[in-house]
Amino acid sequence: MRRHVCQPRSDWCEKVASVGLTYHSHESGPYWDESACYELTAREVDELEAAANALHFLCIDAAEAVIENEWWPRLGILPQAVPSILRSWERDDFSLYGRFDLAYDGTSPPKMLEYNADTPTALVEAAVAQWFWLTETHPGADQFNSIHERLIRAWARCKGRTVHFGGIKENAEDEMTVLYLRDTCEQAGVTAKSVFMEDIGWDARQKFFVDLDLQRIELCFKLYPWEWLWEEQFSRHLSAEPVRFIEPAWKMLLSNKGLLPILWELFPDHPNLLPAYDAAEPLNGRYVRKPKLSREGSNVMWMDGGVVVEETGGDYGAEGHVFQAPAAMPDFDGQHPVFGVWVIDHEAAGLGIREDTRRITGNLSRFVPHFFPSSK
Amino acid sequence: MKRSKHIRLTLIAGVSAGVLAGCSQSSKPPLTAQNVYTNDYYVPGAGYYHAPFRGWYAYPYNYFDTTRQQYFYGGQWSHSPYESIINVSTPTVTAASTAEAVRTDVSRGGFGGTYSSGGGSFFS
Repeated sequence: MRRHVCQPRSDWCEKVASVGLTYHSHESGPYWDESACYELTAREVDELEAAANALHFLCIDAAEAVIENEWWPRLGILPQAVPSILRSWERDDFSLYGRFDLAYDGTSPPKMLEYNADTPTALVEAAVAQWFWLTETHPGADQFNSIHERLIRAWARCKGRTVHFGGIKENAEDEMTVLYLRDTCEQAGVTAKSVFMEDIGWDARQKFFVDLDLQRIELCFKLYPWEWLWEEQFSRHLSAEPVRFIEPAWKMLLSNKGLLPILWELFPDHPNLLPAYDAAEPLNGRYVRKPKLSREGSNVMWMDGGVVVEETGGDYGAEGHVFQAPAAMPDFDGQHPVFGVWVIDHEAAGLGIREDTRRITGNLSRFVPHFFPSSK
Repeated sequence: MKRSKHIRLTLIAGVSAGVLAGCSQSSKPPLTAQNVYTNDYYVPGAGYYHAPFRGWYAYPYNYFDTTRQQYFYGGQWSHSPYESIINVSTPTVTAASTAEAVRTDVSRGGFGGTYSSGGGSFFS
């Protein structure tokens, strides 16, 4: 694995924006950063791919253990959500995607930091922007990225139905992510419509959800966390399941960091897992404390020798925390990459790398493209 | 090869053409006992709000029926209109939930509140 310093394309802003990455920069600098790129070997890519495939099914096994043992409090899951989770699990409701965040240095096995299994973002940059970057800057090279085709293939399962696509208003990243997913859905030959989460209507007489055209919403991709849905006004209608959401309710089990200690209990010393516990004591003052439901690195605290060495703010933590052993993070001139491996329809499909000078990846961490030498 | 062979985008290029969901229709928030309503606030299927009686009824507040030669308020008919300084109130919990259950229009705004209230600005 090597990190290269690169000369960004002179018109990179326009180029990435034209393929959907309109949120390429934030107030403190670029989010999409092609002043660097990572070169991996084919073996390293294979190792990341194998790790994500193995971890995905470990997580499903762990979710099954949660169900069998009724470990709902360990995950901070609300009691009213449990019946829906169980039914969606039994039906094996369609799951489109997720993204593992892995620590990897090219030498030791990749280690799971977390599984963003409900509302993963950074999709347009991984699936599209870095692919076009590759074709222009490294046309002979390969990239761990078949996300686009795999999404289209997965959506084909929904043929004959109408899929609504719901995100929140006035958030460029979410709007483009939802739009991109709708694009792939339509390319699969599936009818699609958009509706903002705030605009979803409840028809009290017919007892189903409707869009702004009063068309029934039966199957809805939502870029909106399940744990938020269950706290909101319309949650009282969810128990009767007038709509099937994508991601399904059972993904609440996988997207929850409360699963990390359970994974470690079930599969101790697995090469792709870090030791994790419900309490800090077994880790002897050296751990990363994570809220069970936090996103974008919020409210994470890194302790070493009983001293806080790094900490992020946010609104999470009331649901409880887990404690995970710190991963050995590679250091490239002060940059720490995290490897986001995408899982589409239960199979690893691509990679997006984000790096930061901090060890906790947050919403200001930069997306850096990658390539590996083609075998052709 | 692990890379995509061809990526075609059809919708993203047309964002400005209004692919995203429209925002033109006004939302109808759920009826709750926490909200205040004025006399004759109309909810299809539930009726007209009578503020002094904290509920919805079939006719407007102090509606005068020329055949009966009577006024309607709070679910009853009377020969004289009801006199009250209350023209705005919160419904009872029962009245709000009953009206919400029988309303034949569509209520909106029941999802998305966590985000707009600052529950978070980015997903994972």
